[in-house]
Amino acid sequence: MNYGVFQGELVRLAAVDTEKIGPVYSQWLQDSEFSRLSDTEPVKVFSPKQVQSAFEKFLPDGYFFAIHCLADDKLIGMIDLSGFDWPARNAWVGVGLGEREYWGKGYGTDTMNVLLRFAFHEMNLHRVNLNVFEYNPRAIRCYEKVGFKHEGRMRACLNREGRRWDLIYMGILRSEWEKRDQASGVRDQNSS
Amino acid sequence: MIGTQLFEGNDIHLTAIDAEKDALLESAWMHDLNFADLQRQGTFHHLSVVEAKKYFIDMQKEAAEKGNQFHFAIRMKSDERLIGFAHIAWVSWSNGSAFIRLVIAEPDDLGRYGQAALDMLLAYVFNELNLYRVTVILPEYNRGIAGLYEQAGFQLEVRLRDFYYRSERLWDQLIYGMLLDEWQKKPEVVK
Repeated sequence: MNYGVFQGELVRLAAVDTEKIGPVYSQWLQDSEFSRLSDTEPVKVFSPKQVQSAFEKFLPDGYFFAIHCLADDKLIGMIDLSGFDWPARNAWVGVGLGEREYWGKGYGTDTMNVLLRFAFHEMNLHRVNLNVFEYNPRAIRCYEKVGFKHEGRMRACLNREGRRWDLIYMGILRSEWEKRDQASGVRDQNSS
Repeated sequence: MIGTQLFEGNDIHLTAIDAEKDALLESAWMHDLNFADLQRQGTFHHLSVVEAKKYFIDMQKEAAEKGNQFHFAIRMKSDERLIGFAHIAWVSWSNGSAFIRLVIAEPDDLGRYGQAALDMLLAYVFNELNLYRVTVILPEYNRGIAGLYEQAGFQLEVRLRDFYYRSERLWDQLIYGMLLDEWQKKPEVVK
């Protein structure tokens, strides 16, 4: 099956099935390292039911996708575009891979490539923003690889494990993405 | 010092917002779209008195429920004339950080009392809320108030390119920050 604009080389983005995501995401949150990479507030655990009703509440606020590995169709993470500013045509992206065995193997990069193609060529955005914690170099490398530029850091914004960490801001403009996209041929990978 | 008056300055004081009364001026100010856009980002439209009142009531309700925000009306001590508002929002208690927003409607008042209002707000943030850092988010085109924060010692930390659309072009978003030790080093700070 060809998933069109939602298909990458390693993953596909799918609709969020709130009943299915409940138990899976609840398990991911049990891994405090995962939660600490995605939330600035003290991490907590949530039951499958709580996760399910949270997603039912949040889904209308943005474009949420479940990330499935193409090889085994396993649900490995979530990505979303939200906080749209339509006159300026920008939005915020948030991504998390809950399944540890898929970390550091290019799944995040592939996911972000698919999402950016959707953001620029489907939503017609001008810019995509994100922030990332200083203690998450794996994610920072991934964002650099797909073309995000560093735009500054809020100093000492986070307080974890007895020290302070910066909150790093990154952004990519459509023109930058298109330049990079042409060079790598990402855009055409599904039409061949 | 415990006896230090946090809410009383020389000419101005930080007081509670009176949703009913203060809605009159807020609505009048919001009819100046330049004010609306500079001071209340994301609400680029007029506010009727009824809407302004609801804006304040909702704000106070949220502050009471969430406990992570604080809102003040800035008034002249001589005659209680309202000159603007001071907001502390998105307090993250575990990280010791918060965002502040100073809204002073008339450029003359901003020039005369802006620095004093900001100093009082910072004293409250650092000496009473016990926070470690404070953040200000500004559109690049709001030069008037940017100067106030820069003068007070805020560092420009982030520039999000092409973030806002206004007057037929895109503008950057600027994020400024000040840390506790930077504030303590300010010569005018009395600890």
